Amino acid sequence: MKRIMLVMIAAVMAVGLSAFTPPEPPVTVYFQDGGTGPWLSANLTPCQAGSVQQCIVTTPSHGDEQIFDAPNGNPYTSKP
Amino acid sequence: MKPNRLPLLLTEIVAALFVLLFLYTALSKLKDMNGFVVAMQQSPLIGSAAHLLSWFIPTVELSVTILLIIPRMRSIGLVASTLLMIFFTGYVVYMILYSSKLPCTCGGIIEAMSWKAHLIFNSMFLLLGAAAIIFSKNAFIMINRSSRIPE
Repeated sequence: MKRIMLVMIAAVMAVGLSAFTPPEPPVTVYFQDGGTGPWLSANLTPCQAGSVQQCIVTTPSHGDEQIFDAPNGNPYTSKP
Repeated sequence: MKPNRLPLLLTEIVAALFVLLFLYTALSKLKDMNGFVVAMQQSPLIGSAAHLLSWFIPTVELSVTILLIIPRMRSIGLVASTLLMIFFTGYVVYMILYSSKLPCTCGGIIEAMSWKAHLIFNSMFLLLGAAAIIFSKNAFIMINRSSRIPE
């Protein structure tokens, strides 16, 4: 019984912490289909390799906008 | 004569820390599954397998947690935890080298860490895991000895 006590306390703490961690705002993905045309936004459409040429990802946890070219994920230095 | 209980205690503390880490991050990922998938899809290394991994990683973390909670399975759980931390640390090293601007897909408040802070955090858990495996072997030997030698 003693051997399970510490891990059980940790498990309860993990569940509690997880329950009380505030939900993050949704990750917003802006993408330009085929590298041309208007910038579109979506919460679930990812910038998958090969599907789009340019992509901006707003990441709430990092608090900044990051721009990637989709094929290899290299960040651009500035927003187009 | 009572055996030295320190290795056993240290093993249990490390197991508890791993339970706290893996259960918390697994639940956080499951709670925000959409965000987790989107963030992972940006990764050049694992982006193409994001949908599969988004379920696989929390499942593995929960399985390791269960192994750590069951006293008889704890040694296996510690080895599994350390192996998992080796994979996670390898991924962090890759991200630092090639895609450090990309967000972390770690789950919960751990996402707020920078990649370098994350590397230090993972390395500490990796060392703790390795130490716990050694301690658990010592603890096992000591318990076996004490059961053979009458007090």
